[in-house]
Amino acid sequence: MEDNVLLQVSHLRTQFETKEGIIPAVDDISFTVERGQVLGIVGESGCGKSVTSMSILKLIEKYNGRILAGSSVKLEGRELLGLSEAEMCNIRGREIAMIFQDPMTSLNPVFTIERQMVETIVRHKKIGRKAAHSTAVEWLAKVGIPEPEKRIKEYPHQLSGGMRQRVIIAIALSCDPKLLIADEPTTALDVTIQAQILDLLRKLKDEVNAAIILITHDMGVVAEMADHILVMYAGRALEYGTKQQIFRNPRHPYTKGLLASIPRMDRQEERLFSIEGNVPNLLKPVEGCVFRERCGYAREACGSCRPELLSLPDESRVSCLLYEKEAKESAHE
Amino acid sequence: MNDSNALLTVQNVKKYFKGTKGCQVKAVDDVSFAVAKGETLGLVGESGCGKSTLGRTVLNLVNATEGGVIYEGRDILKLPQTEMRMLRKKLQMVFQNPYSSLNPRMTVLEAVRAPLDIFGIGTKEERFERSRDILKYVGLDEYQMYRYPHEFSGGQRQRIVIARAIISEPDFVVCDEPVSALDVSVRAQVLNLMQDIQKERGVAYLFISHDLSVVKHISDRIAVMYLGKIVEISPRETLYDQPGHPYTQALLSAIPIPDTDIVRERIILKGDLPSPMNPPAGCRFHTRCRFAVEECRMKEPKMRFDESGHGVACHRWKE
Repeated sequence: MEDNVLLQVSHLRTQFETKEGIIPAVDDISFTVERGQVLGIVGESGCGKSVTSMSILKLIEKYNGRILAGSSVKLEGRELLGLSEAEMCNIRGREIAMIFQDPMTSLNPVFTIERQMVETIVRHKKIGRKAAHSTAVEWLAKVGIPEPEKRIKEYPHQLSGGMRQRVIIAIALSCDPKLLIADEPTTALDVTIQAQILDLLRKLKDEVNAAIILITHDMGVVAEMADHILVMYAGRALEYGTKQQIFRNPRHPYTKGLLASIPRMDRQEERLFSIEGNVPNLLKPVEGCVFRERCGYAREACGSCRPELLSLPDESRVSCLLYEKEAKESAHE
Repeated sequence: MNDSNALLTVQNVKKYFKGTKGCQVKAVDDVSFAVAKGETLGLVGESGCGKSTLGRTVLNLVNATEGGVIYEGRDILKLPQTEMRMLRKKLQMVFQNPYSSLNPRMTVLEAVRAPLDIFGIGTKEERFERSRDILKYVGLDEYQMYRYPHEFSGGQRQRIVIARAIISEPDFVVCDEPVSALDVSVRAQVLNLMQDIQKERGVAYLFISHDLSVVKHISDRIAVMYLGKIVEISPRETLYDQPGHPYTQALLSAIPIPDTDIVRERIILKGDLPSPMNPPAGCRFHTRCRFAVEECRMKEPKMRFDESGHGVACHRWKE
């Protein structure tokens, strides 16, 4: 079991210092990713899901973010947060690859696809340009780009959005990473193209045996892709479980509300459930539970102390006082 | 739907944009439909299919190349500008981005009151009262009226935009992706508000969106667009239960359902959307269609309707 753990994130805390004050964008997040598995991180905009992924790759300092002491990110047991920038450069792209949301801006417009792919492969795999070229063409074919020999000579603007995202996936996977972080990989794409890309990611995942962290706001996409799901809200983890646990038996009032507020293709409802209010302003320190003000089950105790991420008998976790009793029972067993 | 209860009838509207080197983009190409009083017509399609251009053309915000839009017995595309302007109090619009559709230098009260000021409705006091009431109706407190847009969240801003659109009591509002910029939990609030408004005030919506699950939730009838044409139009239930056009079928099957117990067959479309500068001859969908035959490459299919009002533009429908 332990051997299967690829990535272990514990007590990750990332802050941004702004003129108005400190924003705790990621506030004590812990999770593990096993080999070959897909972890879906879901949440609404501003919940800290992208900051989590940027922190894992230590890219956050460029955005004036700071990872606090006590945080830990271990890849195969090796602590990443203490590594130097030079050492991180060997991890990024090689061990952990990333796909960003916007295929329009993640390729350099003044270089050909070939140059961008070959550069990465030569850098990480330490092979010659010729060998790198054929690896690149091979990968373009694998991600379903027709006439890869010809298309590799083209510039990004000559490709459609879906094609660009395929190129980015090819670059990400061409160095055989152990972990792929996909941050909203299909959000900028149309649904029919999204279906193509998700289908491709599923196939390639089995082929290269990489683990995936899939970050998305779309509950439909995680339902289709993920093995485990982490639900984030206002920088904190509210619930963690297998896909089946989250969708069949959501526990946290936020997860329940989120699932109920999505219009469904498979049934018709007169009126949608809606979570009242807005996401809290993170500039003001939150006492107790972050979801308290919008929660129908909130009690006085919710305001006094921050709920822990409780372990439940079925191995799922939830950060809500409603489940204290259930969690205690499981601890006694 | 028969024409007698039509509020607004769109007839053979075309909008061509001039491109470079004499080529044209046929953004909207010969589109006809009608909207009944108090109904919601959903308009779905992928990016670049012309749905936003159609919404703007219908309201005469861009000049149509050809065709007409009949409202109260008159073709509004042929009205002189002064008359068109006065008619705008009955025909309103809500745009996608609540951040750019409010003037940052106007307070919320001023923004919402603007249509009343422009159309000269009521006395100064009446205008103030009506603005206050409508803001309260969309869920804003009185003390928030003198604030500026930047002090509000995306969901609140979209409520303000909606308040501004309905304050002049329009019959018809074009809503162009009104909830696409909003988070899931806030989206439900705005959709519910739009439904309440429709029930209480009888306004008709043309609801434009790329999100089929949202369109399904809110619409009475739905039109599907592909490369400038409506390929299918039908009552909501029929469209989702028996989609007639192969494009609609693929579009529906491509949507991930947030449920782990439902397994569906997925139709994955090959290739990308062809360029609207140079759309395929014959049926525009034939390059990606599973059922395409020779006829589809040669002849453009006409929209055919069955007795339930379900219309499909496909040669092979009901084969």
